Amino acid sequence: MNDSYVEFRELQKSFGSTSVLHGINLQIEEGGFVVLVGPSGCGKSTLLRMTAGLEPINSGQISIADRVVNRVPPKDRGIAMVFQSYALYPHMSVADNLSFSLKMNKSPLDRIAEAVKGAASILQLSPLLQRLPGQLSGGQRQRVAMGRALVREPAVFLFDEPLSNLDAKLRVEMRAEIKALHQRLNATTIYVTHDQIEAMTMADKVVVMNDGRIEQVGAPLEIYDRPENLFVAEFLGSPAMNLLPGKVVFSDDAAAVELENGALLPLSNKGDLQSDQKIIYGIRPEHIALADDDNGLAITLTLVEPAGWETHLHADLAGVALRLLSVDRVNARPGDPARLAIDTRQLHLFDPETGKRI
Amino acid sequence: MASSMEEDDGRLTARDWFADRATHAVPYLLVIPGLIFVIGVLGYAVVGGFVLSVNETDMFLNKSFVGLRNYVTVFNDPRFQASLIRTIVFVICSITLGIVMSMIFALTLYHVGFGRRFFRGMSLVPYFVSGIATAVMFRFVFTTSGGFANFVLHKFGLPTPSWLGNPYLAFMVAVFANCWHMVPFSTLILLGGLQTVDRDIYDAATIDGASGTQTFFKITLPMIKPMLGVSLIWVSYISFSTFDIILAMTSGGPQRATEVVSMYMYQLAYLQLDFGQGAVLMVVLLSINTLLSLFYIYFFVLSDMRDAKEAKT
Amino acid sequence: MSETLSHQGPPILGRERGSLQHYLRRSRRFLLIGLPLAFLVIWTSVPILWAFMASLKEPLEIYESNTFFPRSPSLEAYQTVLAIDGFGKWIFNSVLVTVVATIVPLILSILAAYGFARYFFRFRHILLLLYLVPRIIPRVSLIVPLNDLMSNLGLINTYWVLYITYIASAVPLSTWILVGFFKSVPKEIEESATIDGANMWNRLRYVILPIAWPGVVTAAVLCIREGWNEFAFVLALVTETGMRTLPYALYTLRDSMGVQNFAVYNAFTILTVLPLLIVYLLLERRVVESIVTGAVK
Repeated sequence: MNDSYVEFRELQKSFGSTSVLHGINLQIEEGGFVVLVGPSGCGKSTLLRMTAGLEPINSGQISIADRVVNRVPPKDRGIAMVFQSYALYPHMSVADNLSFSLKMNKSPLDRIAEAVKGAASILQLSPLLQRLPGQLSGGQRQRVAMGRALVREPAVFLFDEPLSNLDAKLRVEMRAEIKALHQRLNATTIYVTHDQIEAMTMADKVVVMNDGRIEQVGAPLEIYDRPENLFVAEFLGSPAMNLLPGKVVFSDDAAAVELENGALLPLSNKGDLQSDQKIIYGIRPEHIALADDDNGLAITLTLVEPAGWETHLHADLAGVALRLLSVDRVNARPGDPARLAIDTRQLHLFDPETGKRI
Repeated sequence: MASSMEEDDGRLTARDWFADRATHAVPYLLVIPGLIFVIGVLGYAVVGGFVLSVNETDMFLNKSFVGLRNYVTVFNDPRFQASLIRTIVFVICSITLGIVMSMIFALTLYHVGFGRRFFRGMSLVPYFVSGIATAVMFRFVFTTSGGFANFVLHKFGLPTPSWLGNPYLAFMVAVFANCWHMVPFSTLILLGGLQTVDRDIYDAATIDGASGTQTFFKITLPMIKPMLGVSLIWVSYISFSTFDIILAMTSGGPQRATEVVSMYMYQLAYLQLDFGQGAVLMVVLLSINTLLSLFYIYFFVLSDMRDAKEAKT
Repeated sequence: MSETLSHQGPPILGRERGSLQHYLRRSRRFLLIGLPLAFLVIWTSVPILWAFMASLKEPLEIYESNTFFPRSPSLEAYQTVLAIDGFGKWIFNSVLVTVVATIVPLILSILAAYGFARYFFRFRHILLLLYLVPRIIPRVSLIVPLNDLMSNLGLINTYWVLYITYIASAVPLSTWILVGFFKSVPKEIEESATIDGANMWNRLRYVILPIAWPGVVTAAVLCIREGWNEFAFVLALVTETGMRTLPYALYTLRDSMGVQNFAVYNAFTILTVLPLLIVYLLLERRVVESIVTGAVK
């Protein structure tokens, strides 16, 4: 607990009779960049807003810098927030937007001017200080929103899906800028998004949420390589992991998974598995390759989608749909038969009842 | 390291409890002051009106309870009955003329290409003229010698009637004056409705082969139904309450041709000093408006909700 | 010629430019819009213009009514009006009551509208209804009980009675308009201000009002209008000559104006109408916009 800068303890939240957060526990280190990711409605925005103080807490505690802030008003929590819609004051100039919070706190004028200048130079807003938000581009507005947060010199930065309103190209640019800013300031950041790519590329630590619960916490690649349950396995990775239900069969020394349609998928070793155990076989598209020889699984290609440097393939394994990712150009057409080789070191096996990893 | 987390045991302190109550009280504090005025004055007046209607008040404002006697007197009074009928006719005429005019004006303002702002701004001017001034102006427009109407008619060699002296014509003039006063607002509301219709729908209609008239009746009108509702409601309220205009223009004449309920109420209460009967008429006016509201709510709001529900299934 | 008329409605299917059909179509379109437009202009302006012209004419000329424009316009009528005993007092009364009946309702309704727009509290719906229902009460119907009530309170012929009644009838309208405008201010901007440390007054002053000011202007104009044009209440509650407002004063002229005073009568009318019109024309854009976009109903 000593090195957690922000901590959530048993947080619960309901709106009326609907419960949206069920017992959230999380610890965030100082200077960490934590991304809360999950599908719409999973509660990530609610959690963020509770941290900011915009939503009351039903039960549990939030503490920032070793101080329980449940009843502390937003302005005293040491936080700053960047909203999805930027929420800039449309009738105030950029300079006024930046200095608003300092004005509310009655800071001396010279301090205000200094802070505004500082934030503007970091974010390259200096030439825009006298403009109105309506005269700025999306990316510029985004930066003003960040500048507003900067000026408060907060202990924790909160981002609520800040890039959702930008087009694809800008998004990539701003991702890099936000990350660079974080590295420069080393400020604790909590970032909410529904885009798993943002989560993977920006986070020190990823928190996957679903339906008001935390599914898994860990470094991006950690979670990618070892998803603890079905939800996380399916959520991360694009295209998504292939998940095939079946049961374990033994033959001599080797173990395999037999799918409902009779096809056999290879396993690397028996491990703790038992015969006839029901299981879900997970393999990511990039870990399936087209085999040259006749040893691989027999499939029929249904769709070939060349996407430039990679090719998406849809295949049919006797009735079961599979997706593959190939970095080699594939010279095949829909309907062609082919053979697959599965990298069994990259298997993920899940128990169908609990959804947990085996 | 004594973490303050251990000190906070999660239970609310007294100070927190007060803070919560204060936060909850805020909206009430914001809303109550205005309400005091509104309910205090208007509500009190309405109640007072009801009280008056069941009392007989003498010159010194002493009241004596008489139950429903005033109501009986009033409802049996042929003059009242006549005024009620007149009022209804007046309202129907006003609504018809008013809605038609506002629809035409709204369409015109919608399609006009230049000077939009000017024409729109100009069209709202009558709304800002007081009822009395409107009445005076219309008197001068329709006065037998010296009026604009007869001036024009004379120029064309047509007969120049005594507008305000003839009961039927005077009634018409009252309707005109009322329309002049209320059409602008209604026009702008309908204009707003027209502007909410997606242009693409008109294109689709053209491709489907609809003519201009068909488009209007089958597409435009249904789509601006809510605005039509608002206009209708507003126009009927105003028409039922018309008072200033008629009082200043014809005072209910000639021969009571324009004596609507509000005029008769004034007559009873202020000229005959019978507050009791006057109050009954107040109740009548109020009831009519309330009934109208309920009717409109049912007709427009609920039917919209029904349509929405049906669309979903 | 028809370049000025844009194709706002159903598009004109392509026909060759210059063909007879094209020309006929265009001129038909011009008539279709131009005629009603002309009618609108004439209908709206004639009563006012006629009165204005009459105020410039000699009385006899009005009576004979064979001209539209005055033969020899003179401002004599206006001078007479301004010289009427008590005219200054009446203007003063109108202005005073209108100002009070605008500022106070605005303050009250800004607070109330903010409460309704941003807070969800238990009795919200009922209280909101209580605010809006009074709008269906015809003001004229209240003159009977109000007279009785105010007489008993001894408030007849005071400024206070006018203040109270005007304010009470202006608050519902004003609140209704403002709630809509306040609600349209994005919540996130206010939340951002909260995080920045703004309390409710700060938020009102720095965020809500600056962003929603067209609504405030509209509400103000409509309050001014109701205050300036109000007649029924004055009729009911004021009997002293010195306490009259302009509309009432205009009304009382009716019987004392013979033919020889027609010009004066019209001049008086124009003078009562002018101030409000000026206010309206200054702020016309906002008001029209608000009504058209449905914020005022």
